[in-house]
Amino acid sequence: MSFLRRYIFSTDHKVIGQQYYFLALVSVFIGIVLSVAMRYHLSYPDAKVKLFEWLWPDGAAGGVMTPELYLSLMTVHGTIMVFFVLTTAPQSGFGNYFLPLQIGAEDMAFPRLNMLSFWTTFAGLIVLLAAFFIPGGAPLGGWTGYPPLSAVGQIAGPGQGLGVDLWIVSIALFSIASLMGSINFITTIIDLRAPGMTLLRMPLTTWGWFVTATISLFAFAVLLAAGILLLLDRNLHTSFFLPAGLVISDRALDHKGGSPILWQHLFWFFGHPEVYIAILPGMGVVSTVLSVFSRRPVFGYRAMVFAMMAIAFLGFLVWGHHMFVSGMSPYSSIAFSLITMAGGVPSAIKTFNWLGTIWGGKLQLNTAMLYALGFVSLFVSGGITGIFLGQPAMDLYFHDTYFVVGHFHLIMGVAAIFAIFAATYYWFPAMYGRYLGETLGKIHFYLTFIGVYAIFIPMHLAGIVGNPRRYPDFKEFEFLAPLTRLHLGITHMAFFVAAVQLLFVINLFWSMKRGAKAPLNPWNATTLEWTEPSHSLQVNHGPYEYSVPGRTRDFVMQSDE
Amino acid sequence: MLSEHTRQQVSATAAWVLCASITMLFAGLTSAMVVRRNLAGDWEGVPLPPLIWVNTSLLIISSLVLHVGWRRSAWILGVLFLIGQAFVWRELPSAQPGDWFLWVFSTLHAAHTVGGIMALIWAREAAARIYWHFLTGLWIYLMILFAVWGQA
Repeated sequence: MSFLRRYIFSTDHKVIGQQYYFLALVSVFIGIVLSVAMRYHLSYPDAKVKLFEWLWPDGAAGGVMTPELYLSLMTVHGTIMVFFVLTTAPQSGFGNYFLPLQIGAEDMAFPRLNMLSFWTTFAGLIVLLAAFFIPGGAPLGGWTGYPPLSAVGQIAGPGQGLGVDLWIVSIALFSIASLMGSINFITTIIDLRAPGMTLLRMPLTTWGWFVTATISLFAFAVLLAAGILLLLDRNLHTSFFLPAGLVISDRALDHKGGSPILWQHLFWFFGHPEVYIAILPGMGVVSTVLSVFSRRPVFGYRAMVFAMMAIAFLGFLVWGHHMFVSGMSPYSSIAFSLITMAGGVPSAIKTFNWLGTIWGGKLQLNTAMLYALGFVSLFVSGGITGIFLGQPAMDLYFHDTYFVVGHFHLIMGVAAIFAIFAATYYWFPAMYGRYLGETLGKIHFYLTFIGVYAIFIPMHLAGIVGNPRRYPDFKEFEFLAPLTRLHLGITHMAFFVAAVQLLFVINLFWSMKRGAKAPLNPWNATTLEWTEPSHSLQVNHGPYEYSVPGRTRDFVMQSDE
Repeated sequence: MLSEHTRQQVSATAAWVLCASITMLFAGLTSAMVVRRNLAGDWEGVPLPPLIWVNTSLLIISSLVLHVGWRRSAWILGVLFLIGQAFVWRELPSAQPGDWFLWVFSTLHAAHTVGGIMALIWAREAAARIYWHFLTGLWIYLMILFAVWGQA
């Protein structure tokens, strides 16, 4: 087999899983660089930075970032993190690698489709990044791309020209890739489970991928529909999202009859489920890791499965809570608000079951376990503020402030990233036959854990003061002057946390070559990815049989007699 | 390697899952049409060219012959349907919202039909059947949507 077939255009699920993982790793570092550049500009709006000028000769001529450049960094940061990191690593990365192993399948159901979906994702990333290198630069409408400004082209700002077209094409490619991936995941789980692997013997990680694939299947289709209509408004002069009487940059537009709110409905019908696409695979990982390192069965396994389904289902009914300030009927607001609050029930079931899992266990506080515990902490801290924002009256105030930025970074961004870290430490021995370095891992964990809280909790405070988000600087706002030091602190912590992530990369690549050798089942775990691959697998046990009375070992593998 | 029996089964499952996703794509667009129709009072109805009913009949007949088991006849009728659609597009105006939606729906359906023809030529029996009948059903739904509900 040639190098090209083996490592580049491979149809092997393990190679494709790693390709997705490393695509996400590259993406996350691009996203981090963009975020620290933004933080630097927020705290030092007048500073001349050679690096900015070198990176963006037009947007930062003389080294000072223009407001448009700031907004384009924000847009690409959001897009790259949501799609190419949080949707890619937990689902497509680990899912492709471990789903077939965990259910005893030889590979995904459609290996070539799998390869195609990776390369389509890759093309999406390239198209997005290309926007930085075209005249006018990257789009600046935010990752939500609201019309009318996203639909009228160049006159709404330099990046709103070709940049937005590239952004839409990138997201459309990503959507198609996700749909192909979902078809593969769902089919594999339905048809290729080993004998004895009943649905309620599947590990919660597999359940997470299954439920997430189902959400993706429905949500990305709607995003694709919205993207098509937006492209038509921009390029073929239709009016789906553009109302009559618009005057932009002193030019009257002759569009008429459309509604920008229509885009919001379509976008958030995708956008809210997207949050769960990012977090559900992580919930599966965390359930498993907590169980393994407490040597206890997952508390309420069935409840965990049904809670995932409930979260997915409710996720499709709450999109309106992103639109409380759009002028929607207060009756609709209340309906969306109540369903949003109802989403707290399955979330609480999961949280209490995680606590129930570790309660009374013999905790092994290794790095994977620390990250799983960190996930629970972040999920609770970020989730609590969701209850604030889910109420229309409070959201009116908080909506356009840093409170929202703090909220979604904790719950969607950092929590999901912590699950990715937990998964990386937990599965590294299965992937590379070696352990990830524990000492460096723990240092990385503690510094990151403290650092992210030090970044995002103060943002909530700034939001309570009324600090608007999506502003390139706050120089003109006298009432925000007392927050200057707070923002400076956030900026310093952002640089600190960004630097700390290098420890992880060093650890990752060092451990691949030099890490301590690990045996086949280093954590004494029960699921099938820790057994020798075999053609005659027979599953006889549930996924979390730890501390079983009357056994010589404290765990029973799923394939044991 | 998967056995032929398993391959039949996974391709049929995948076809169902694919149909679910395409349903969602068209449901999203339908909801956009519902909203847009009642938005600004500029909905003048969608005049459907008579040829479109000939094409609709071709597609329904193709599903019927596929049901009898004539795969080749089915995809040939599918190709004729697409050629017919091309003639419909030549006459189709694009002046007002109803026209835009007919353009969007019919071109997306055609794109999926190209995939359906390839499925009839290459894919496994069960999967190709599921997908082709789905495309016919989808087109009948669209015709009802425009003929009944899309009018002013």
